[in-house]
Amino acid sequence: MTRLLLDCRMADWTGVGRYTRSLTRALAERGDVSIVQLVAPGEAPPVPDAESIQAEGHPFGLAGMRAYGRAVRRVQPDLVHSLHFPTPTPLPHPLVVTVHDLIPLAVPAVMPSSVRRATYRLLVGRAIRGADSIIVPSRSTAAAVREFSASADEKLTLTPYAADDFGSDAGQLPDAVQSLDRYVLGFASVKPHKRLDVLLDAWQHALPLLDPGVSLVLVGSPTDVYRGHALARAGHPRIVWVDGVDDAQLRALYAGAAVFAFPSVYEGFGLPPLEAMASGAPVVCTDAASVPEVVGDAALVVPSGDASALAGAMLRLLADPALAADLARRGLDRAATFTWARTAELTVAVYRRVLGPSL
Amino acid sequence: MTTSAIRFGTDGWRAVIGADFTYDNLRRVADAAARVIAAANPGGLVLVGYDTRFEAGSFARAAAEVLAARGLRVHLSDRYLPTPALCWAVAHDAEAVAGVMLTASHNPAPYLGFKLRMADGGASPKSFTDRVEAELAEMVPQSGAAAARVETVDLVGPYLEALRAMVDPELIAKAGLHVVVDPLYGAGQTYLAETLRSFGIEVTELHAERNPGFGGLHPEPIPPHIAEAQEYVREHGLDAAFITDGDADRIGAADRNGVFVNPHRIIALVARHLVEDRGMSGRIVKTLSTSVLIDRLGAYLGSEVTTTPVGFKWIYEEMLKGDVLIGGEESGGIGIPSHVRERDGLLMALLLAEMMGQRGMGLGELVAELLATVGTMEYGRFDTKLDPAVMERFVASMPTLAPATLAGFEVREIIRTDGIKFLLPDDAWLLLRTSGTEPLVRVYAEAADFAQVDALLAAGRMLVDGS
Repeated sequence: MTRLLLDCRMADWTGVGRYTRSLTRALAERGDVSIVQLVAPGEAPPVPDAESIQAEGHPFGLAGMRAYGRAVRRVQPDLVHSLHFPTPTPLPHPLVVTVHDLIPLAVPAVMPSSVRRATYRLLVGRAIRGADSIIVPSRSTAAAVREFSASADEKLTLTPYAADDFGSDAGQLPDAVQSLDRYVLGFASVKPHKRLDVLLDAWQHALPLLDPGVSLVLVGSPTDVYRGHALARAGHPRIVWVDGVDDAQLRALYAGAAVFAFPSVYEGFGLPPLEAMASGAPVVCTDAASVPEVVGDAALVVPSGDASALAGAMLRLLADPALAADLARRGLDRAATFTWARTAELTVAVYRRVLGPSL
Repeated sequence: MTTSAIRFGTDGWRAVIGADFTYDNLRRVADAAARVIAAANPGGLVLVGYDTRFEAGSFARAAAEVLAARGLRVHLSDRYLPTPALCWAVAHDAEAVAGVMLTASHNPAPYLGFKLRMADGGASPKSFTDRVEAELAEMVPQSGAAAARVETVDLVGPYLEALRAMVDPELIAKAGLHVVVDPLYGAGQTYLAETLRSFGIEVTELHAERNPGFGGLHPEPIPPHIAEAQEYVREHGLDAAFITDGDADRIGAADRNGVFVNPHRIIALVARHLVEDRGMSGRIVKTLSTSVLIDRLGAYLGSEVTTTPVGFKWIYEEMLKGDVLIGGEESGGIGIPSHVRERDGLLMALLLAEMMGQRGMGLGELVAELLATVGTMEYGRFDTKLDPAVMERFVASMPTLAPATLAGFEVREIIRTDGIKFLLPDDAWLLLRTSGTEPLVRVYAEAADFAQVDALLAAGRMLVDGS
């Protein structure tokens, strides 16, 4: 059976982590490949009963890349799949690399240090040049990779992510949310491209027009963006913060939301709107990068950065139960077309192309 | 430049100061206009105004003297003024038969222009400017001895009083606003800020001095030219920014976060305010290139929406027919005929402030409320210059151009009143318009999201030049 080495060292991250965990599990459930999971010391692999190997050092550092290389030599896999852009030293073959996005190049504020951006560019360039095949989750990311390196074009394969692990197994709502009548759900990420500021602006715009029973639930803790915002000084911003939620609670939060609001201005794919749709929440999102590809016609899409439009769309959904129900239904239908089994199927097809008919 | 090269465009004659816009050429244009005006109204009163551009006041005096030399009585403004002020003054002076405004509106600093206004304050129709152009070819000697008939008067004060009477001082005061006003060095400077202050609004005014170079700015109230106002309002936590163009007939705005409120949204907000808050009625007039959000709002308000070809002169034509509440276009030119049949950036700023006071909301909130009612649409536009041969081919193909689909959209209807407008499902549309003066095509599109707008614009380019 074809033996794969999967770089799972970033399995506890948010978006990249969810991809790592879900794809690794979906691959393990197939009978046609066997997996070896590369993990950081002390971390549990996504599939506990499958083989794993540890590598010291930060995945982005030279030590981490060398440790990755040593693991390749020890495991002697048929194929190495870097589930994020860090690649082993020396470069092995066959090598498949997943490029989720090129956010630091599109939104430099995400990585303000020009030295770090230069390093990032080097590492991504090395991965793109060294890979035998490159997996991207969206046409938008494919275009970004092509722009970064025209020679990457023939290596690219579109392999969307999924959210079929949402929509069931919802846990209890966090205590702070249980007493709320209705709420809009959002994320309080510190990452600049997630645009918490736009969500807060939109909330501020919507507040005077909202039913008093509607709150904004933000997953995360108050950030500097919030502390510097006028809402932080307002008497009753009607914001409830929930931090440290696990996946079961997150499923419950999505499922209970009257609206899920996603103001991000750049995404490689955009898992949260898909997760919200899979959970039956009506979605308002931006038209940025890959997001429209993901949501199709199953969400209200507003111009990115336009807080008034975001607020307007939230208000429409809150005031129009029929529209909200229709979007929720369309969201469920659309989300059902994205499954991790399908992602694994498309990924194995990439492996087959690289390895030939032997797989 | 020979007189034959002087042409009146959509709103008068515009040219580069010192190159084509010279005292000689201006006097020729003014004299031709004077002969046409005097032929119908011998000894009639003409009001003359000017903006803040280089030498505009001196040019205005020269024009005034030429008009007077043809036996017309002339009232020359004693200071720079917005175009809508001149129009209002003409419309409300029973004796005035015409107006002349020396301005290049939103054009860059090197330009100046000569706008003609009719007795109702509205723009001169093409038939009138055609006659002026025809007169330019004639060289008719003038006496040059009638400068004494030019009287310098205050045209601004009565206009500002009328403006103040258009809004409710208590409602504006109630808003408790602190706003930025940015006249972009143009003719709105001081006037809008002072009027707002007179209602108790705190105002920080930017670019409020005579600067014929416009400080390198392009006096058009859209991004990126309004960046300083956007930044200022955001940085200082103010309530809004109101920006007017070079002659203050156009408006742009930004909310407290510095987000640009585009003219489509301003038209809709003001229309909504007039109907819902002030109980007014009448048609809403927009141009073919203006957002479908206006149509949706009209349906919501129960107000008829009339769509005209592009250009405020067409909106003016509708105003002449009557029963128009408000008319506006994509460029930020918005007018209310019960005030004057002309665009007025100052009035729009006052009405927005009044709406903020009456509804107790900021601009961002008002836009959110609007979009909650009418939904959102994305809008895009580009202009493409063509090789003359390609332009000729495209123009020849226009009458029969009728694709069944565009970027995957089924073409539901084709409107050919001004260029070609393709109406598509879900309120999407694509508009192609040719320039009358150069090999240039303007391509506009509106659709549910940016990707669709991009696809439609690309389809438009394909139709225009096959690329």
